[in-house]
Amino acid sequence: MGPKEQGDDPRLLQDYVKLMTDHQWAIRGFILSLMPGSPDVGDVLQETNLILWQKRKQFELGTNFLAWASRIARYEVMHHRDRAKKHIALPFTDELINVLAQKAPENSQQRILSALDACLEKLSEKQRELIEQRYTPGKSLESHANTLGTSGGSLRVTLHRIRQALKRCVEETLSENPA
Amino acid sequence: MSQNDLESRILDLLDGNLAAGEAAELEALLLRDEGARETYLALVAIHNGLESRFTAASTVQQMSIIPIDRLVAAQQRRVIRGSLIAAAAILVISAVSMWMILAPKTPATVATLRTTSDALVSLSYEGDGEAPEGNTLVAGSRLRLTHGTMEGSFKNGARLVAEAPCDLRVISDKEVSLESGRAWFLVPPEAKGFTVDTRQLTVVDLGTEFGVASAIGGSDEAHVIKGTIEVTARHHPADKKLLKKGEALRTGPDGQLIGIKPNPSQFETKITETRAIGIANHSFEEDVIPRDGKRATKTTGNDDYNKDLVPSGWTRFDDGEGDKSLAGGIISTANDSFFNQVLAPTPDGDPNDQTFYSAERDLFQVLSEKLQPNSTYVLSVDIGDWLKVQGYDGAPGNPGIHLGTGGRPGEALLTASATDFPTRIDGRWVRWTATYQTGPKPKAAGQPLRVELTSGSRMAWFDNVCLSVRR
Repeated sequence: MGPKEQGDDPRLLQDYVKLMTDHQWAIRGFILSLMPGSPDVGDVLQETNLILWQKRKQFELGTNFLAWASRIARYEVMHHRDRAKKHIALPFTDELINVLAQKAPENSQQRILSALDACLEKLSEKQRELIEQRYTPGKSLESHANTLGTSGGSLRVTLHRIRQALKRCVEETLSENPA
Repeated sequence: MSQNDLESRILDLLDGNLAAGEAAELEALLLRDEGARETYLALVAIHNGLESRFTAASTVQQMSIIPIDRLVAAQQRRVIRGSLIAAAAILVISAVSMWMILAPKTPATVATLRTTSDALVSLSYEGDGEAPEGNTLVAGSRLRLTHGTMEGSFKNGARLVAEAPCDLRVISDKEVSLESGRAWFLVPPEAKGFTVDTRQLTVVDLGTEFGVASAIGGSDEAHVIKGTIEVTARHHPADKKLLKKGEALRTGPDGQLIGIKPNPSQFETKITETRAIGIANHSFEEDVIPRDGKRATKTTGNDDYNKDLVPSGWTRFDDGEGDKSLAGGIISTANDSFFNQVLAPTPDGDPNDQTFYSAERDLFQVLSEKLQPNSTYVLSVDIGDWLKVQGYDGAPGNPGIHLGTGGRPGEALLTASATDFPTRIDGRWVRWTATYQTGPKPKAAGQPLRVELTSGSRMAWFDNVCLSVRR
């Protein structure tokens, strides 16, 4: 352990907290890309935030926070992966994680979210309801399928198509409104 | 694979519904095809956005909780040696308000904790309410014991004893989760049903005394000392067994239950006072190198460590396993070092941490403590590795931690009775622990103890060298 830490400058602290909060979704997306399908994305995000907070004095304001944060997030994903090897189905291999991590997240999450909001507005009520069933905590596709009198498999196919359509819509929206 | 099939598989993967074989195919495609990766990242962005909009909408305030006590624990671990971290609070970084919020309510105490005086323990709280004070445990408490022994006494009468290294969560007054390590449990009839979860096992007490061991990357074990327990393989819920006194099992490669010979003596059933043995400059902090954000001053070429610096209190030697480089020195995480990038964060989580870097440069230290009979010595060291780099002589030599006697390095080494050497991970740190036991008449009784750190023929980093003894 090194010398005792100096006190935090309140303004710098506020700036740093703002950086952390502004980039939460981007960091989360980066973690998600490295451990898709895992229920532990939130845990790893928390661990990443912990390290980001510990290392706040090493970060130079004005430099690329997202690149710095994603490097730390990558370590945390790999750490989590090593711990969880025997616990859950294996996520990506180190090789693929390294390849994916080479592309640091872009600071465009807010634009993507805005585009996504606009695209969600274009969905029919039924389509939007299906998205809500999939992504709202406590709801499930299976119970929705029972309500509709159809199969979960059928709804999953429909859900895939809606999300593929959302992807195309977001890409078109972003290309029409470049940053 | 068509674009539609690719997108469908990616979405199945994100939903956690992709079969193993298909996942392997997808992974191979993502590795070789940049276009597939772009599609993948685009769908991840959509998925993340939807989760942000819907899943997180109800919990956005809690999305980024940083348990402050864990920060305190990481930053002050060595300072609080011998005592518990009492302070605990939570810092909520809100995506909306950005302000720190302290939750008002203190959860009910379910157990109390005591430790040996040499214990190195971080006690954290990850629940919703205000953190508990002192050595009390509540639902949501997490204990990470890196040195020493601890005992938890539950209000319902259940007791647990755990030895370092151990990582344990308190789920409720009747349930704990053993993330890793070994722990012994004594459960009275009134607490029947007390449950211990590991990564691979669920152990339910049916009125008994038992031990549970869980190793990261290894198998989990349950040993019954008295009474009966019910053990279920978490990955094979139908694989369930009742174990009686004198019976034990472990998990197999696929998580299935396999009977084994019981070994109850591996579990400590009481906290035995241990004493820390002083090691000079045990964390390589004494020779303070410049913390100016730049590379160290005493460098050559691209080196970014203090090459000429032998840590105070230690002596350099060559163990003969690779001797072409003999490079090593102190690295500070405060400085701009390539190695810092490779091996961050260090175990201390301290932005000004110093560690010892060694490429075939071995260290030893003769201690003032003498070898005693009927004693148990525990040596533990944090080890960092950059495994991508082969040894200078091309041999894949491994690092080592050793306890010996006398003043001649490499000689009179004690044989460890037990080791806990987690697999080294490229660019990461693990803590290695070796236990040495002496009988009534050890050959080297009265000789001074000696600690050795050897890097083998690869690069290795060392930090936090701790030695304790109990009798």
